[in-house]
Amino acid sequence: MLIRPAVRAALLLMGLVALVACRPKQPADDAVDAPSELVFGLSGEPDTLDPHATTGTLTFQVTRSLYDTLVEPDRDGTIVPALAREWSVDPEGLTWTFVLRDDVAFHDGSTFDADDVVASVTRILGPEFASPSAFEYEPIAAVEAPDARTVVIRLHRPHAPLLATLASGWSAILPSELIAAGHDFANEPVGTGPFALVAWTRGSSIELVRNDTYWQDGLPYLERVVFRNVPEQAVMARALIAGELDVADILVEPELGLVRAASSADVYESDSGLVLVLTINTRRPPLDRLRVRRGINAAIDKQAVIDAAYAGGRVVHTFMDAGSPYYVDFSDMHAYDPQFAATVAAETEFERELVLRLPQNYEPHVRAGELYHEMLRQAGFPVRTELVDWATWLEDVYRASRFDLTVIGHTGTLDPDGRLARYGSGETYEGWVNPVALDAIETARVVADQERRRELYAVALEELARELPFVYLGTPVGYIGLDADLSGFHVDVQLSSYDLRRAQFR
Amino acid sequence: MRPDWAGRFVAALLLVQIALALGAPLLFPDPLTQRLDRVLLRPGSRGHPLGTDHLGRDVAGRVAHGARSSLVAAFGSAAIAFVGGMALGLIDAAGPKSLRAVFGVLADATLAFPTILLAMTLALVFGRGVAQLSVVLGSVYIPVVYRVVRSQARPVVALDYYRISRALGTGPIGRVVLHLVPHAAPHALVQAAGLAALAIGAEAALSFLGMGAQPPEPSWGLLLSDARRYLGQAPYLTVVPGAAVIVATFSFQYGSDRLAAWIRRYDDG
Repeated sequence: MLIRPAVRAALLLMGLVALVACRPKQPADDAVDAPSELVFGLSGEPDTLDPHATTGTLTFQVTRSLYDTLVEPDRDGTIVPALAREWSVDPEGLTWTFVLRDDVAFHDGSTFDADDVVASVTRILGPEFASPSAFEYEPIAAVEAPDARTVVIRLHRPHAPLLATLASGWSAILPSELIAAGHDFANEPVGTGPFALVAWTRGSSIELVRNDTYWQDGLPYLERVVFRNVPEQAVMARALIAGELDVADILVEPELGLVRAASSADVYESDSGLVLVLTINTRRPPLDRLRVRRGINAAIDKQAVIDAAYAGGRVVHTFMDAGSPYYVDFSDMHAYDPQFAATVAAETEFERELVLRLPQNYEPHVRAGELYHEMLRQAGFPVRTELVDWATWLEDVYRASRFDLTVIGHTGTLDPDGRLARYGSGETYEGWVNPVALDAIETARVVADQERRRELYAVALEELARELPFVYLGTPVGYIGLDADLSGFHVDVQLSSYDLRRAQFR
Repeated sequence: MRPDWAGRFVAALLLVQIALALGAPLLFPDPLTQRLDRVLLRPGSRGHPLGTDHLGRDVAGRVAHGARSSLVAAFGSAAIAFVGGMALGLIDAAGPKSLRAVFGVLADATLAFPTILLAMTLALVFGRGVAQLSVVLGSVYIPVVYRVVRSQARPVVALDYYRISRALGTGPIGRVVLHLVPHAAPHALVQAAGLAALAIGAEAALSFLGMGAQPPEPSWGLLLSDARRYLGQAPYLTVVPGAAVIVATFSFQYGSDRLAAWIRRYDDG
């Protein structure tokens, strides 16, 4: 039988339609299922994943998802219960009692109880572990566990920042059994956090998987989180736009403009808690002289640097971020005065060039460094720039104080004491000695009255502003790139870390 | 003999680069001066024939001054490789035979490492900067010249005139200078010129990675490193120093080829 071509075509078409119709239906929820893996671009790599062993922000940005603390800041910065259900303090302010949750387990399956809190606090305090956060716990005289659900912390003296300290990244609670066994937390973290570590490929990525038994019901929403080390700003922004990254931790110009224009990504602006500085090593002559430091400060056009290197922000004149309730404005104390800078440079004898060491992986800091370098050169200061990688910067510049000048941003903390502690003692990396500031900072730590604390910090901030151990640049706006479909992302501004528990794709 | 037009062209090209590098302070604006009100100006802007970069610095001035780091690295490392390679090669040929195996193994071991990797490791030890970089690259290139010199000088030691010279009482140094150096030096020079071409690329690569010239010094590698972020908006920032690297590398490489051809002709009479 001959079938006319048109009819043949019609039959063929009908057959196809029938075939499609017969295909088993996809489950409805599968079809609308959003991706559950978040790829997070970090512009550097943590030196360790042991939160007790470092003060590096990158570590806390990752460990925030691995560990919990007794208390934590909520989205407004108010401190709320976390692993501790509730707490109380005696009228003298010396004995703090925490009642713990009883439904929490560590990633290795062991149950969270008071022993873990005691072991974690003891680990930080212990001289053999030499935690860089030990000084935060210095007021603690004893930590006891009267029963499995109760922890009592006794202080030498009243200590106002205690709750803020316990809410900060370095106060993460680790399992007591593994602490006793000398477990390698630096590489194999075990916590109670919303995610658990799968693998850390050094120099490349850190993979986390959802903790299905997390104590907050239904959280986290994401199945997997991958922190990817992307030191290149240009690569970071383009990967975000292309959808290879869901979060880009820092965006600066010129990429910021690209991301704003892209429909696949949004820019999340947060009031960063940073204070950007040009740090001056006050131990080294001639930088030990205030007049020389004033000359350096006068050479810097702060607004120009913060605009050109950090895509804008608010200029500050002391060691506190512009958004802090403790911030005091000292803008009339020292002025931008290239003439004065040139006078100082001309009258100062330099035995050698001042070495400006820049952390190579932070492009905005490097760019700011180039601007500082040129402004100082124009004024007549002999300067030489040296790029160093991040590990070297931490080890050589921050820990060993081997630098003349350096550029960095100091992150905020929940309590001003976290930012200011030990400054003026000469033991911090810039080596500044000032008994008045030190005394004010130490006193403010033991005073409970908020107004009195504010006055004391104002005294310290005034000393810092006048004596210029840093050229204070300002507080930048924090620009974070996010996939346009991502919601629930949150930055704890004062901790500079990310809360990913409620993050999900629409 | 036909005039060697290509050779003359390359020689002129090299001279122009050297003149630009030496004359940069007189011919171009200061490469470090930043004008934040004049950033990313296009080529052809008034006062900035090749435009300005993201900090308002003159691109022409930066590229011309950058030629200095490149040429310092090229000539410096080639000179070190030439002197070091000649010395080792001649000692190898004229000295005690027991040294030959030691030198050979050391050269092989050095050449077994990727050049850039070895240079980066040495840069960590010597510190960062163009002078250090020249020393590092020169040291890494010594074995290359050494091998050429060795292959040229060893056969001469076995020849009659060399033996007779020894029999006549010419001292070891005299023999090396009279008979071995004239034979090996031209070939070593060709090799060193080729290495200078490599050094330009290596200097750019190491500076790009932050291990060579340090900002804000103008170096082609650093210029390229700054420029890659502005590829979309300001492609000239990449094109200009990129072209400079290509031209310089080409002129050294091709110059070394012409030199080799010239020596061959000279040897053939």
